[in-house]
Amino acid sequence: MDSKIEVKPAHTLASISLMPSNIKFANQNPEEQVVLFIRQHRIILLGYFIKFLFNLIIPLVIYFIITWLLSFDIFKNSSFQMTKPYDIVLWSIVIMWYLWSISKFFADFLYWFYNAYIITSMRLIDLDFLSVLKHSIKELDLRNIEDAVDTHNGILQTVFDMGSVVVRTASETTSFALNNVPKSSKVRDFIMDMSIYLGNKK
Amino acid sequence: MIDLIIFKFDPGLVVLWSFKIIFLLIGIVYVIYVLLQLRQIGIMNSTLKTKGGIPIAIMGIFHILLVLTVLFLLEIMIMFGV
Repeated sequence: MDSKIEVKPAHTLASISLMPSNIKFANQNPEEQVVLFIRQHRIILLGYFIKFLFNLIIPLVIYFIITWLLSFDIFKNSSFQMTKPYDIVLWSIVIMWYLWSISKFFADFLYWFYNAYIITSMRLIDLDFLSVLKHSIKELDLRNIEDAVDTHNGILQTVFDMGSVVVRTASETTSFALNNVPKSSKVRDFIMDMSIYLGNKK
Repeated sequence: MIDLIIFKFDPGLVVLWSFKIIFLLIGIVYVIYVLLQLRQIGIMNSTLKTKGGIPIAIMGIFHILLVLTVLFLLEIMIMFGV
């Protein structure tokens, strides 16, 4: 195999790691070794964090807009007043908003952390954490791979060298999509090299 | 003249109690959601055995404690404070 992927220690938040010694998975065969561990690019995580910060400032922005509007004379003489029950309703909505924002960020982080692709010495495994009620684990024998396509789409993917790798088998229905993976060209090449290598060994 | 009106309809009270009940239901659904999230973390940790699984499980427990505490205080404030 002539593919060369930059070797990185398997950090807890690593998005790509070659030959990680500290990553194992359920139902791993005794002679099976994790060769490549991939998550979505870390820039996706940064996107979730920016969204979280944006969610944090929304109530403040709304508060300043309302305060600014109420400072006009037409509102000063109106019967509209923030009485005690409305005040508590408003505060409870704000607190619920912040609680939801924290939960959303945590859920997004879980989505990033547990959506992983594992290439072992035998197969390709796709772990999907879709929601709190849905998760899926797919696997594919590397020897059955027919072709692999990597696509860069959009500014972010071009700038940060990430893309989607779609792996197809002879079966028309089976295809694997590795979304937003870093160094997608090298990953595609690595998968095909592994497939050819294992196919020749058969 | 005998006053026959024994129950006075108060729209403000209806709105207030509707809000209290809706808020209580939202709280219950939210707690169930967070508990399911914790369960899902457990399933994913047993599937993907990375060393990062334990900190995330701890974060999940802290998250549910935060949700429970804040919701409990809010429910008390809304049910008895308003």
